[in-house]
Amino acid sequence: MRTATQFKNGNLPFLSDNPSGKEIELFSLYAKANRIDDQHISVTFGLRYTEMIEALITIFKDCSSPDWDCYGALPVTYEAIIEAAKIINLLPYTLPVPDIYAEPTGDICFEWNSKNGHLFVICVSGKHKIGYAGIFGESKAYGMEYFEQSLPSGIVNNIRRVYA
Amino acid sequence: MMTSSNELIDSEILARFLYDKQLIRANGTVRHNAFLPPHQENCLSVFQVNGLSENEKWELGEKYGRKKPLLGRAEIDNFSVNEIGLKSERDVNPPRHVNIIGWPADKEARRMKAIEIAQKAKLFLKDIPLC
Repeated sequence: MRTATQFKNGNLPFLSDNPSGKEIELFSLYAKANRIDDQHISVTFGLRYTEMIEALITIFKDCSSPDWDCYGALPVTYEAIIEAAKIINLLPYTLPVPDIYAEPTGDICFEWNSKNGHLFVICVSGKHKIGYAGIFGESKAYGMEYFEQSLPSGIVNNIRRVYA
Repeated sequence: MMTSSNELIDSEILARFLYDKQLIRANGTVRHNAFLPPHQENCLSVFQVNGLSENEKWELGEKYGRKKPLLGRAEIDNFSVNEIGLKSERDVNPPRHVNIIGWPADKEARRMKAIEIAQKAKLFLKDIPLC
């Protein structure tokens, strides 16, 4: 299993053994966008990052061609990946690590769910917008929020609501 | 109650065949992205599988399959589809093919419907490791 310690040693744990040019480019831009360096990232927080960034790398490798779901899905764009990396950077550490996956819309989704059936999903496409939808028992909520430098408080509140 | 030949009754089971691991959670449940219609389209392609054996269901998914191996299928009954506010319409081309229609135009509203379907659906996996 890869660890953040490896990352601190400069082994680029987010990348596969033989990374493609796009993978390397993605990692470089991600690191630059988030100003990640060996001093910045701790082992604890690094493991969170590693898990989530590895999910993004997998999405980039598997879903950046059209029709990746065999039903006509749109490709995930580089802009969506970078925006998803930004979301990862903005997530409060007090929140559980989300399930991260692609949508046939080309969006990248972050999902939180609990055993009581509550579920909340946010999705980004690289356009400074967060689409969201959730089920909390008998209640439902969906819509869209703009975002730039911080996660809208309504989004964070709905994530917490999953575990209430 | 009489129905037209294109309409389905509540007990009919609809299967969405799954060809990508992005559509399946690690805990063996189906994600909402398995139930989103293609971009700007108003129908979700499924098959009616009542009366078919397990092998016949897999054969159906592989017969009309795609460029990737079949990983699994998610089943939902027509009652649940109607309860969510969508509708099923038989088109029988190919045989047993059904379209789930009535999707809202708004992207977030479509996502909400897909989440509701996924929560009611049951996932069946083929014997293929997902990772």
